[in-house]
This record gives sequence, C-alpha cells and structure tokens, in this order.
Amino acid sequence: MTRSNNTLVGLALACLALFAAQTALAGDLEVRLDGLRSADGDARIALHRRVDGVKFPDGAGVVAAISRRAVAGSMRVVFTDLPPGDYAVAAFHDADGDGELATNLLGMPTEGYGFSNGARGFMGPPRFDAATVTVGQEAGLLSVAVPMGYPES
Amino acid sequence: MMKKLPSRRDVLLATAGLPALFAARAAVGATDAPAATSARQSRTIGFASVVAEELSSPLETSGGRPPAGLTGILWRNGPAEHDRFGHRYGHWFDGDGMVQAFAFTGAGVAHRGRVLDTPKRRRETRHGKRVVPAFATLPPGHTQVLAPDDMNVANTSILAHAGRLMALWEGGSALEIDPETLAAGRFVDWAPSVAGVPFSAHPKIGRDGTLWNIGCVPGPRPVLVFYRIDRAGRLVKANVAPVAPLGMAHDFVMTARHLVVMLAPFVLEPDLLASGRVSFLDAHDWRPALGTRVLTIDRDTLEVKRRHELPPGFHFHHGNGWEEADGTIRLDLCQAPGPGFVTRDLRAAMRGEGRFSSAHPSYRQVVLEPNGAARVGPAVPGAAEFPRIDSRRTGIRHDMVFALADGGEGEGWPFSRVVRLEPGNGEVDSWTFPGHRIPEEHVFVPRGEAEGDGWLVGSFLDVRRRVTGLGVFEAMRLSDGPVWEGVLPYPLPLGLHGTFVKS
Repeated sequence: MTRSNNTLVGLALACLALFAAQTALAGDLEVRLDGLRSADGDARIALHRRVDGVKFPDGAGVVAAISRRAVAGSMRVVFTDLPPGDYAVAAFHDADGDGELATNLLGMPTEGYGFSNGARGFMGPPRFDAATVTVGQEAGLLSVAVPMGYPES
Repeated sequence: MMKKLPSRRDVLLATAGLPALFAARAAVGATDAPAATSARQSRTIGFASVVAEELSSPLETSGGRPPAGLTGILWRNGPAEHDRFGHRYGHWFDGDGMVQAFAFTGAGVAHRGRVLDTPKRRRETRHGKRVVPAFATLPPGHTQVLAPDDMNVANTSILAHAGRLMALWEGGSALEIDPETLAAGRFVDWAPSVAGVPFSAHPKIGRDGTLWNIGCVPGPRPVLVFYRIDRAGRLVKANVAPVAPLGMAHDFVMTARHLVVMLAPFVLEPDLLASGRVSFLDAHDWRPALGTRVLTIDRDTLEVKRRHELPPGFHFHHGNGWEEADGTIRLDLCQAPGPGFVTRDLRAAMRGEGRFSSAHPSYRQVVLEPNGAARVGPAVPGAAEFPRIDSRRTGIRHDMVFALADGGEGEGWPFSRVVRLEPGNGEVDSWTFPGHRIPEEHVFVPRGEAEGDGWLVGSFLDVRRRVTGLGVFEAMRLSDGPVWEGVLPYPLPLGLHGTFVKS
C-alpha cells in the first residue's frame, strides 16, 4: 500500500472510532446562563475543545455553537451527543444582534459575557483549564452554569 | 414661659461634636493617653469619613459678601468615605468620592455635598460589606476586578464640558453627575469604541472648547490612550499607543500643537497585580534606571512624535506647557525624588500618624528641545503641590502658577501656605494659614483679561473648630490674606481637585 492509502485508511478508522464514540458513549451538556440583563438580541453560546498552541477562546476550538433569542434572567441550552472529553463554554449576550461580541478599542468587551464554571481572567479571558467541564464515558446529562458578567454602566 | 430655643451657637457646637466621633474612629488602633489622642485627632480629622452621605448648609461669615462679580459654583471632588461597613481603607486615594458644590450667589455662599453612588459602591451596598479592591487596599475576601470601572470610585476631580458635569477618576470612565441633585449618573460613553476605557482626571480644554485627555492602561498589554473631544462633547478621535512598562500617568500638558506625557519610573508589574495578592499601588515597582520617559504626541493625529528622557523623579501634576516658535516645549511640574509620599506617607496619614517622612514634591521646570535634548531645572525650595494656572493660558505661555506650599516645618501635613510662583523666579507671593487650618487646592477664577486678574478660591479644614471653610483671595495680592471667608458647621474630608464654573 502506498503511503497515501495508509493515511486514508487511518482517517477512515479515526472517523469510525469517532462515530462509534458518538453513538455508544455520547453525553449531553446542559448550559445554564444566569444573570442575563435583558431580552435584547441573542445569547450566543459556543462549546470549545482544547487546541494546543491556541489561546482559549478561539474559533479554532469551537465544536458546536447555539444562538437563541435572549431571555432576561436565566436560560438553558443543551449540547447533545458529545464524545467524552474536556470542554469549555464561552457565551456572550449579543444585545445589539450584530453577531459579534462588542469591544472597545482596547479589546475589552462592552456586552455581557461569561464562561463555564464562572471562570474569569485578569484583563482577558480565563484559561481553558479554569472553565473545563468533563464529559465522561457514561451517557447522561451534565449541567454547567455560566454566570454572565456585564461591564459597569 | 417659653422654653429657651437652642441658639445657633449651641447647634453649631452640637454638630461640631459629631466629627470628633469619626476622628476617634479614624485613629485605628490608637492606644495613646487622652492628650496624645487629642493631638492625633486634630491631624486625622482630615482623613475621617464624611459625617453624612448628603450635606447642605450656608457658609457662616463674620462679615461682608463675597466680591461682586464672583458668582458661580466651585465644584470639588475627593475621597470621602474612608470607612464603610466597619472597614477602613488604608490610603487617602482609596475612598468613595464625594462631590462638593460651593455656590457663590452674590449674597453669600451655600454648600451642598453628596457621596457618589457608583456601581462599585452599589455593589458593596448589596453585599453589605466592602468587597471591591481599591487603589491601595484589598478588602478581605475581595472580588476579582473584570474591568476598570468595576473599581471606579470617581473621587479625583470634576470636569464641566459641553453642558455636562462629570466626576473623574484616573483608572476608569468619567461619571456623569446631575448638577441639580448631585446624584451619580451613568458612565460617560463618548463613543462605543471607548466605552469603559480609562479617562484620566486632568483633561485639558483649549480656547475653542476642544478637550484633550489621556487614559492610562497599565495592564498586561500596557497602553496610553489619547482622546480629542469637540466642544459639543463628541469624540473626534481616539488613539492607542503601546508603552511598556507603564505605571500611573496622572496628568499631562497640552501645547499649541502637542500633548506631552511624562512617565515616572514607577511601573506596574501586571503579573503581581494578577496574582490578587497585592493592591494596584503595591503592584508598582520603583525603577529609577528607567529615568523619566517623556512622550510628545501630535495633538491632531494623536500619534507619538518624539521621545525624550529625563532623570528619574515622581510626580502627579503639571501647571502648564507651551511651545516656542522653534518647537521647544517648556512645561512645569511638581516632582519628588521618589514615590514615598504616595506609598508611605498617605498611608501613615490614614493611620493618624500624620508624619510625612518622604521627600515632598517641589516645583520645577522642564525644557524639551526638538533635537531630543531635555533638561529639568532646579527645584524651587520647599514642598509645592496642587499647581493651578489661569486656565485661559492652557497651552500657551503662562507667567504664573498658584499652588499649595509648605511652611518649612517638615512634619505633619506638608501644606500650610498658598503661593504664587513665576516660572524662572520661583515664589513671588504667599499667604500662610494659621496653624490650625489646612488649605486644600485653590483655583483661579478670572475677572479681567490679563493673566492673574481675578481671584483665588479654595477651601480649608479648620482642625480646631472641626469645620471646613472657604476663602477668597485677590490672586495678585495673596499676602493681603483672604478678602472673604466663610465656614460650614461641619468638616469635610480633605479632598483633591476642583473647578470653578462661573455663572
């Protein structure tokens, strides 16, 4: 077999393994956003995996994303059929509905945002480790809270 | 028979008793004998918390009206709630701000004051305790600061511009104030791009009403921010310049073409601050080897154009700066050999020690030549701080600066005099307050066209009577003493900066 075929076979096996994991060992993760200040715009929630060499949160780590009309107070969304592993949730309240987290010229968010476990960074986002939630081998529903923080106004 | 009504004097005495309680509470850990405690109280009264969140009273005067033509409001700001929920801050600059309005009506002067209920203060009200890190104090079990305005106490100065009144702090947004009720409003949102970006406490306003300011962000990616805001209060331009390392940049000067920012070698260690173990102030390091870095910024493009270097020193305030035809910039400042008066003395003052052991700031001039050469002139002997000019000279040549100065005793609160300095000649006129009176910043209020034609207006704390008062001087005849003065029936904590808005 050629080297190229080897790679293809490897990839196919990997896909099969992933498929098997999803069907046999999938878990669901319920994310509860707390402290939404208004029903303006949307709540955007992204589920991340760790990516070596990339600082969390980054688009490269996003494995699933959910956008819902915002609800003042608390709201819940569920990511389903997740293979076991470590995840982290980053969410923001897209109050102006433009699809992006509004920031000032220093890059500081000017819309509400939050991370799983209530993780917070210092003058920046938290580390992936601080926001980690682990989906185990056993099927079932995990739940994680994301308290939303808003810049003072 | 009619019951005897309490006389005004009785009321005054009864009210005057209140602050003594606060002064006693301020002397944390005091174990002195009564006599010593009394002496300590007289020094700490300026660092006791304000006696009430809202205050209002006419000023009592022994005679006469304020000078004709002097009408308007002296707005002042300063840390006022040093103690809350049984917790006392450790540094003068920590406390929640309070706006003071001294209204000159023509017939007399009336005071109103109100503690600024910032989002930071409201959060602590909800918790029923101090929970937010302050400039130099970390309350036990403090929360994490996510954005600068989380800890904004709006306690440093007052800005009146484009019909808005604002309380300013160094590390966060301007806070709008209702001039009728003095209530704290929202943080000023000049434009979405600068929402929540620090807006420093000493903006400069040009003759056409254009306002320039800096913002100092000494975080993990330290930057200085420059603002240009038009006379209608709209952001025209903002720019960001990376500056590493960076510490506090409290003030700057504006010339006809440039802004000049002098950076003392007292710089923040972001990792130390991020550890959460020490306060913002204590995360600073004195590195004299850095020298004093001087940035000259084009005031139109807001780009850094030139850099100069001067010997190390620590300063907060400038008088003014101006530019000669060949591009040479001349400016003045009050500079100390190091930051000890901030790191040590202003903490000692809060403990009631009242001893200033560090070298005080002194008045100096600086020359920046377009070829990169820079020099700092000799210090005018003695302490000088809170420099103010005739604000109509902002950015153009000024021939006088008004400031507080010491009485040469070298112990206790360092300022006992108000002086007029001339760049080049040093002190040319002064008034020494009686020993039981501590002067606060005095501001110039213009009358005629000539520089210095006007009044110098400022407050003082009378530690013997335990009251705050206000005096008016002929600006060019300080040594004649005040031409008018009045006193309140209560003391106010020693404050920082103010501005006079003529009516």
